[in-house]
Amino acid sequence: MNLESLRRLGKKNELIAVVLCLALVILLTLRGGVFWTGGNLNSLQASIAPTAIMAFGMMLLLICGYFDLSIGSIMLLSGILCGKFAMMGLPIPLIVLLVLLAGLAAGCINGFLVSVLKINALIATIGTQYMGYGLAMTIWDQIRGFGKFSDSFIAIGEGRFLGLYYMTWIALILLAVFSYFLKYTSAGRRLYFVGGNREASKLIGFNDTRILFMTYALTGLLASLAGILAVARIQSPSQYMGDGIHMTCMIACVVGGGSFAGGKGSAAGAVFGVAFMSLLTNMFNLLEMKAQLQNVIVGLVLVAVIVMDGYLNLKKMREMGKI
Amino acid sequence: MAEGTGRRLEENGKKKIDPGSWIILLLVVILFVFLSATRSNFFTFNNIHSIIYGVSFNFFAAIGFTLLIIMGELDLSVGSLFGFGGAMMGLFVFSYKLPAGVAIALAMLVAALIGLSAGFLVVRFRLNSMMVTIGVMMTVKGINWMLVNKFSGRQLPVNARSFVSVDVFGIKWIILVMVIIAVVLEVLLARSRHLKQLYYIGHNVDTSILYGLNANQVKCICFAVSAALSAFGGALMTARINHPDVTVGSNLEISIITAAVVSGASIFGGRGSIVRTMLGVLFIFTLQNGMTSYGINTYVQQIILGIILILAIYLDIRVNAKKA
Repeated sequence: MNLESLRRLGKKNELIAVVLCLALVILLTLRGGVFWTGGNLNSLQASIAPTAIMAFGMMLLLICGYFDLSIGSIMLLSGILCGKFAMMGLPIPLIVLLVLLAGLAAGCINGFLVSVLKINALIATIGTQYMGYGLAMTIWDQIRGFGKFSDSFIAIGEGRFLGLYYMTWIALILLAVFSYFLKYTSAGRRLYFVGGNREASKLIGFNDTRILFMTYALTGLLASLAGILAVARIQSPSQYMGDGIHMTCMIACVVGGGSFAGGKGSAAGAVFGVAFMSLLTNMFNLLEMKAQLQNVIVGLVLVAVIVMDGYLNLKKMREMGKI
Repeated sequence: MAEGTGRRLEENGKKKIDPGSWIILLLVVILFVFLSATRSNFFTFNNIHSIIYGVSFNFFAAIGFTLLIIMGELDLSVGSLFGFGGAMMGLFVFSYKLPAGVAIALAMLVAALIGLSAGFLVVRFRLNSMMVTIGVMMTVKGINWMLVNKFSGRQLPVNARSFVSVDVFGIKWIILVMVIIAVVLEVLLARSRHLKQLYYIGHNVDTSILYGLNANQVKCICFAVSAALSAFGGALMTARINHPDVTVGSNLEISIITAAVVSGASIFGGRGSIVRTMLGVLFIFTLQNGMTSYGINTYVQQIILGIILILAIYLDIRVNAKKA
């Protein structure tokens, strides 16, 4: 490996997240004991995989220069809908299909608001987050007292293949798919153009409204997939699922090389970013830090990430002479 | 980000009274008439008084928010800072045995510092104010939980809570304060040299800087004012319910954005007024009161409020598209 290839490696956007992950792994290993035990690695998988599945959607949106704050609510809604449908006695494939459709519909609503009605992405998705939570809790009221899912449903979350959970395999497959999509397909490259310079991409003739709509729809679909996997793993619907996960995904994507300004990011970056956030939470838990304090720290990390991202963009704009 | 750019000032600076902007007054009247007609116990002095009393606390979170939205900035941390005011007041009263007035003043000071830092980050790095304040919201919410958990089950001492419910001329003093602040600020926004700057900055931030206005400084100050006033409202609310609580100010930001946008402020900046925001908050809270009296579940109310928010923003975008 010569100097040139090292320098190219240093310019990779994912590098920060990889280094941070390694640092955390080393730190956790040095603290010894619990980290490398099977139970901890399992719970780490169960926290990384669904979040990573959602983060792929968030990353695609960030590449276009948009984001979605409602994915946490969609995840919660999917989990609770699973409970509702299971209570109605539907067969499992039908439950999964219906919940995925619900997630797709929620994504389409977001896409419609942001791309067709041109409502500011933050306000529109905060609105849908708020509404989604309201809807989820309304259904939650109807399924109070629902105990555990049937064993065959739980198998979706608990089942293993070659030692890894199904959800981890799904996340890995999606990683491969999205990496290929973003790098080698024209549809994937288009996202970068839309995010890099929206006006120019419109002038070349890209239908940015349609691209954005599809990306939002896909994000909703992925969020509901993550919701199904997560709820199957925790074995019963929970009203706390998905709480704050949109923040985790956003931080993860920016740490993993995305930018709020758009035009940057990769699927691998999203996974490393999510791994970083999960390892961080894992460390907090091993240090027995209170949940509220963890929230404070995550909030501060979010502000720091936003400021760093803004600073880098400002520097880039200055270099390009735009300001 | 400069969301107010590219917008023109009104022709020749001529002031026209725009009847469209007072639609909120019509909405409030219609809502009141509808609820009075359909609910027997709605149009009573006690009910109306208690609605307005509830509005008056939350109004404090809306003042700074309106000043910021006029400049095209959105402050989503008002809700959590509202709770923060109460939690900090609890901290100072319980742990340091300070009198209520001092505790509230200190809570406002700490909140103002938080708002100032958020404002500084926004203007220094040209960040999207919504993103930054979402981060602030999360952080402050965490702090609130920590503080409130620490004091769970404890009641504020009598001298720290009785002052809120004092009546003047048969109504609560805080309602009078709300009305006075609204009217005074409304007049100042229209006439005072200092407050008129906000509209110029909101219309076109680049031009306003060329004309010598210190837009960054004004924005920082407004972020601090917004945080301090939210904390003040939250401290009073906490005194009213006798103890610090996590529910104080939760989801308030959604109500306040909705109120501001329904009442004709634009998220693109350059428009907005304090009296109208007050009417907007009154509208939202009366609506919630009405929905509760119809037995509508709070979560369903959330959905309805979200729909109203998105409709209002959509109308705002349509109106702006026509003007531009």
